[in-house]
Amino acid sequence: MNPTNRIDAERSEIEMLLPWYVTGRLEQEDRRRVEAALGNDPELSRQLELLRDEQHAAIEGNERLGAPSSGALERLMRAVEDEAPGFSRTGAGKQGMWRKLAGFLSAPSGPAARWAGAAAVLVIIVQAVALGTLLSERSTPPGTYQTASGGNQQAAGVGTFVLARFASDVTAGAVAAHLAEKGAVIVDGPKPGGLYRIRLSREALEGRDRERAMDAFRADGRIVTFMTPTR
Amino acid sequence: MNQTTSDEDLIRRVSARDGPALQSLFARHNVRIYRFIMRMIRNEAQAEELVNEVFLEVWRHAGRFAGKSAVSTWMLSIARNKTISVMRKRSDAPLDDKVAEALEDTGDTPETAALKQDKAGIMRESINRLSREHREVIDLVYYHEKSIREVAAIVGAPENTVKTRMFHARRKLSQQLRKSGIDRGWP
Repeated sequence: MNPTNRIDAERSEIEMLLPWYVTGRLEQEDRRRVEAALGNDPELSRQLELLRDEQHAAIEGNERLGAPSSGALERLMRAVEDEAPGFSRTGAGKQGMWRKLAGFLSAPSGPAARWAGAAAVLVIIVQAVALGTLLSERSTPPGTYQTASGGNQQAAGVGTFVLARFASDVTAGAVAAHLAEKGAVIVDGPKPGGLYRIRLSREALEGRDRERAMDAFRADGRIVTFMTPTR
Repeated sequence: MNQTTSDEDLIRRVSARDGPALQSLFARHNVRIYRFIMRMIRNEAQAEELVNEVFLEVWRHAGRFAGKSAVSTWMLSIARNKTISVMRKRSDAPLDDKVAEALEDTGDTPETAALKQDKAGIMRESINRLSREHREVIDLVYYHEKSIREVAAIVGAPENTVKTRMFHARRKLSQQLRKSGIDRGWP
């Protein structure tokens, strides 16, 4: 290979590496090669802008694809249960609700979720799943499984219930803490409009007691943005 | 489970039949896997069904995870194999890639027409019109942010093939954009 061909071949190789340079996923040695080439080749540097446009478009295109429906996790767990009756649905050891919830909340957001739009979607999804877990852990005995969307038969029967919507920017952790503090349980949802059916008390409260429970639950407007009594 | 629970830890727990660990994995990865499948199969119901199958596979075979790649890479690989298998069986299989690529832009839907009002929309639409292979590599690199080695593991191709495939995908994208009136000056 003559020197000119060698230079062309090296440039082509660098050009092929550029997408991974933009995403920060190049091995160290390749990254150094690319950086050295970029310093000497304005045309290559110009390509970085094109690559970032492509990256934006790919991310946006994916974000528009939505996400599995809220019942997907429940269907999965039912399928798992069908395959292995009696599996450990609540974990091998005795784990506290917060410890388990922390696992959900620690879910590393995907690299693409650094983008604001993706982050927003992720918050909603993680929140929905975390709420499902919260429900199952707070209101089901060991060895049973339940998600928020699945309807909690045990909790859904008797008690004091409301329909509530949480603030769009509130974290699942804040919702979990709020529910725990008020002794409330999500028994169904999310429903259209982002509403959850929540049991405020195991007892069917009436009059002043009922009002007090409802006032306490909606007191923090940063968390609960809408609430109405329901059966 | 604490704030630093890794995917690898979760897989180990799943292999010990720990339900909440599977739920955590699902919470972390279901959306990205769904989108990866959707890009290929373009059918929401089937994509959702396939996501479940991927996680069922993880449940069944977590013990086989060797740790040679990231858990997400392993799961994307499972998702790809399952989706391709379904697409081969499907009677209404999507157009052959070459045919799809050769399609001329004969008429825009209102949505497509609206998309073409802005460069970002045109870019998204152009990526959608790429062949499945080219779209796939673009997504794996840009959206899933996989390294060359990881993409190679997912698509089952040598690393050099991945690099050239990405390069050709980008060239095709430029051609599509040119057809839509955007000349990027590259290649």
